[in-house]
Amino acid sequence: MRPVHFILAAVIVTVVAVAWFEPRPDVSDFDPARHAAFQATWDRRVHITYWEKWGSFEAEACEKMVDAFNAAQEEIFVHYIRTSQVDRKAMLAIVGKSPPEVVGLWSSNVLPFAEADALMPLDGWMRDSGLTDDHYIRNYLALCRHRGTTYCLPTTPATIALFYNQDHYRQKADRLRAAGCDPNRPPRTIAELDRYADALSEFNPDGTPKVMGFVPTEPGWFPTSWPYYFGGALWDANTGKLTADREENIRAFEWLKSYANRYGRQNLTRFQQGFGNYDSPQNAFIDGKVSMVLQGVYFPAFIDRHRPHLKYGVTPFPTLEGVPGPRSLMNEDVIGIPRYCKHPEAAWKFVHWVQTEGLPIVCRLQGKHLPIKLPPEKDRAFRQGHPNRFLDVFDMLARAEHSFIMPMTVIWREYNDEYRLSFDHVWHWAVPEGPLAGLDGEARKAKVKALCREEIVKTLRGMQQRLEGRLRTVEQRVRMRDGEAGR
Amino acid sequence: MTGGARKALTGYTFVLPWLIGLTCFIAIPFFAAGYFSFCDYPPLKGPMFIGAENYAELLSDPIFHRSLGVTTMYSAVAIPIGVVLALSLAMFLNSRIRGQAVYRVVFYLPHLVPTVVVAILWMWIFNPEAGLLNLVLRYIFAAGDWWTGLFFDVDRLVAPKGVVQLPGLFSLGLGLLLLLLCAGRRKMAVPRGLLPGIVVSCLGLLGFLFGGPEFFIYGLAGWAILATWGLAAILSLVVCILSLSSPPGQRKLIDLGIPIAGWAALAMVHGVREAGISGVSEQTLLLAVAPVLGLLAWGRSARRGDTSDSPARRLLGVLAGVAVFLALAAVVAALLYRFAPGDMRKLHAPGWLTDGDPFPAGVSFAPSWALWSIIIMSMWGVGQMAVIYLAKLQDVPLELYEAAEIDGAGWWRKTISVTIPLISPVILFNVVMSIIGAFQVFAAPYIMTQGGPENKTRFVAMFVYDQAFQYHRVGYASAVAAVLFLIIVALTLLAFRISRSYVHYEGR
Repeated sequence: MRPVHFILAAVIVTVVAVAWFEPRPDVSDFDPARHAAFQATWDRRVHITYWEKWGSFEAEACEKMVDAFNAAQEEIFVHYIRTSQVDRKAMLAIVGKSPPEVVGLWSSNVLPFAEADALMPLDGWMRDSGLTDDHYIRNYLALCRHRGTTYCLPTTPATIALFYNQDHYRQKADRLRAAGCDPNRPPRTIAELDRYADALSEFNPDGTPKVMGFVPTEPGWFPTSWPYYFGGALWDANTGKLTADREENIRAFEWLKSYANRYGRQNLTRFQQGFGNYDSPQNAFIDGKVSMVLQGVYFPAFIDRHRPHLKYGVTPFPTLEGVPGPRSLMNEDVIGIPRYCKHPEAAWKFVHWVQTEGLPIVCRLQGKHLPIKLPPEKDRAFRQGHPNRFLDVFDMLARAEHSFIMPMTVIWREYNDEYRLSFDHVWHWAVPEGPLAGLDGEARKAKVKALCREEIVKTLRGMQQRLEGRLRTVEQRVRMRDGEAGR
Repeated sequence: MTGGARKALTGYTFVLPWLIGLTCFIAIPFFAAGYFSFCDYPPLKGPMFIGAENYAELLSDPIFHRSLGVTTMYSAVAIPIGVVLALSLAMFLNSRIRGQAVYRVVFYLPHLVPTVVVAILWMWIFNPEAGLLNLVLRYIFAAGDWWTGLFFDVDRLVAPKGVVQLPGLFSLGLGLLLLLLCAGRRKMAVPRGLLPGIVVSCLGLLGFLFGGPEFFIYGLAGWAILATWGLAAILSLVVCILSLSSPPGQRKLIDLGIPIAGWAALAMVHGVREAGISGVSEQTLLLAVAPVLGLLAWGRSARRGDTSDSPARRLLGVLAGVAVFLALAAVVAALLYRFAPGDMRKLHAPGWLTDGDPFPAGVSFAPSWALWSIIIMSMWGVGQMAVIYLAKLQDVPLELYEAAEIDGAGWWRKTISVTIPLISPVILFNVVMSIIGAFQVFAAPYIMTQGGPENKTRFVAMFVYDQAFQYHRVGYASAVAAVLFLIIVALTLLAFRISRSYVHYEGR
C-alpha cells in the first residue's frame, strides 16, 4: 500500500467517525438563550414540532400563541417552525413517515390531504374533550371536514370585502356626482360599482391608466368568488354536481371581460405590472393606484404597517341588483395532526388548547375575527382595543346568511386551477376585428358583447366537461380502491 | 486469488460507490416510474394497477398538449439561437484581443449564478414599467421612430390603410449600397464632388440631432423642408453629388451648386405637394433615381482609374456604411410597421412575462411574449456552451488556416470550411445536451411565471411537478415522465442520425 492510500483511508475513517459520533441535532435540544424560562421542566416535557406557513408579523403573532401555550402548562413543549410551501413539504414529510406533530395548512388543503389519508381524524378527540359544532361559526368547521370526518380545525379565518379609498372619493366628488354616484358612501350594486370605477379612473394623455377606480384583477386572488356576487355558484352543495357553466357564472365572466374591453386588457396588464409587492408601500391600494379593491380581513394590518394615515373604508362587496347580500367568501387557515407523527396525543392537547384559548391571541394579533363563538364577556374583551377597526364588518360577513365557502369537492384544486385558466383565457382573449368591420357605436358594442359571450360560454362549457370527466375518474378510482380493500 | 481476479476486484471496488448510487438513485427509480405510469398512485395509498389509462388520459389532456407544445417551441427556438450565439461568442473569445481572459471569465460568470437568483433578477429586468430592458427599448425606439419618421409617416403606417413607398425605399437602399461599394473599393477614386455634399449632409444630420428639426430647416436648407423627410433628401443628394462629380475645372461650381439645387428641388416638390397640385411623393421621385445615379458615378470613377487612400476616403467609407445601415434599418422598420403594426407598437414596451400573445402576432403558433422572455433569459447562460466550443476551437490546427489563406480563403470561407467541420463533434454534443436540457426546463418559468399566462410558459417538467406534488397523482406524473423520456431519446437519436452526414471526426 502506497502512502497515498494510507492518507485516503485515514480521511475516509475520519469522515465516517465524525458522522457517526457527532450528536445529531434534536428538536428537544435545550438552548440556554431562548429557553431559559423552561429550564426546570425541559427534560420532562414531551417535545413536539409545529410547522406553520406564516412570515413577518403574522408569524410573530403565532409564535406568541405558542409561547403562551408553553408557559401555560409543563407537560408539552411546542417548537414553532416557520415553513414556506408548508403543504408540499408536509406531504413529503408524511409520505416519508417523519412529519411534524402539528401542521398549519390552508383550508383548500384539507380535502386533498384527507383524501390521501395524510391527516388523522379528530372527531374522537373532539368528542372526548367536548368540542362540538356549536363552538364554531357556521361554515368554518365545514371547511375542515371531508365525507363527514373532521381532519383539521380552524386557526385564523378570513372574509373578504370592498376596500375603498376615501381620499379619492373626496377628491373626485364632483365627477362621482356627475356620474350619478354619492361620494359619501361606497357602491352597493355591481352597476354602481362600475359607475364609481369609471368616475374614479384617471388616464395619461396616451390613454394608459394613471389611477384606476376598480380592476377585477387587482389583486385577483379570489376569481372563483365572482359568480357568487351574481347569484351563481361553482357547485351544487346538495348533489355535489359542478355548475361552472350556469347562467349567473357566465354573467359574472361577461362583467369581468367588460373591464378588459373598456380599459384595454394590455393597458390594464401593463398598469398592474407597475405595482409593488402586496406587503409593501407600493401595494396598488396603499399607494393610491387603485381606488377600490376586494381584499380580506388581514389587509388593514398591512395598510397600518405601510401607510397608517390612509383614509379608507370597508364595506361588503356589492352584488348584482336583485341578488341578496351581504355575502363573502369564507376561508381560513387550519391546523391538523399528520398521520405517522410521533406524539399525536400531545399534538391534540396543543390543538385543543388553540381552539379554546389560543385563537383569541393569534386572531387579535393578526387583526382578524374569530372562527369560534366566545362567551359574551370574553367576546367583549376580544373586541376591546382590537387593532382592526373594521372587525365588525368582517365578523358580520362571517355570520351572514349568504356568505359562501369554496366547493367541497375532491377535485377542488384542479377546479380552481382550471377556473383561473379559463378566467385568464377570457380576460386575454382578443375580440376578432373581422365580425366588427363596418360597425360602430352601439351596434359595435352589442356585437363585441355577443362575441365575448360566445367565447365565455365555450370556455366555461369546455371546463365543465373536463372537470366532470376528471371527477368521474376520481370517483371510479375511489370505488376501485374500496373494492380492492373489501376483497 | 490470481492476479487477474485481484485486479478485477480492485476495479469493481473502486466503481462500487458509483454502482450503488446508479442503482439506488437512477436505475430503481427509473424502472419504478415505468411501472407507476400504469398505476393510480396517491402517495400514501400505494400504487393500484390501472393499465394504460394514464396514457389514454394524456392523449386528451389539453394542458399536457399545451405544455408539450411550449417545450417543443422553446427547444426549436432556443437551441439554434443558443448554439449560434455560443459559437459566435467562442470565436470572439478565441480571437487575439486584449483582455481575452477577462472576457472569458465575464461570459462564463452567469453560468455560476444559481437559477433562482437569475430568475428573480430577470423578473426585474422584464418588468414592463421599471425594468431595464424596456428602459433600453424606450430609448432605442425613441431614436428609431424619429429616424423612421424622417422617411415615413409612422402613425400612418401603423394604421391599417397606411401606404409604404416601397419603390423609393428600395431604390434608396440600393443606391446607398452602391455608394458603399464605391467608397469601399480600395483602388477606386473618391468622387471629388462628394466631400462638400457629405459635409452639408453631416451638418444637416447634426442639426437634427442637437438642434432639432428647426435648426436643420431654417439654418441650413432655409425653408419648406419638413423634418419627416429631410434626411431622405440628404441621402438622395449624396447620391446625386456622387453621380455628378465632374472634371477639376468645373468642380467648385458643381460642388456648391448641386446641394443647393437639390434642396431647392425638394422644396419645390414639397411645396407643390403641399399645395395639393400633385400627389406624387418627393422622396419617391428623388429616391427612384438614386441607384441610377449611383451606378453612373461608380462607373465613371472606375473608368478614371483615380486611386486614393486618403483619410477622407476612409471617412467616406465609414459614413457610407453607417448611412446604408441606418437607411436599411429605416426600411426594415417601415416594412415591419406596415405589415406588423401591432408587434411594432408592442415592441416599444412589451409586457414580457405577462403577455400571452404570440410574437409575431400573425403567426398563431409562434412563441408568446412570455415564452420569448424565458428564451431571452436562457441566452444568458450560453457562456458554458461557449467554453466547450472554445476548448475545441483551440484544438483546430493553425496550419489548416494557413493553407486556406494561401488558397485565398477569407474569414467566412475559413469559418465554413475549416472551423465548423473540425468542431462539429462538439456542436453535436452541445445540441444533444441542449435538447435534454430544454425538456427539463423548470426552475426559471416556475419562479417567473408559474406557467402563465394561460399556461403559455408551462413546460412539461412543470406539468410533471404539478401532477405529482400539487395534485398528488404520482402515476399520471410518471406517465408524462415516460413520454418525455421517449421524446428525448427519439430526438437524440434523430440528432445522431442527422449528424452522420454533417459531423466530421478527425480520427476517422
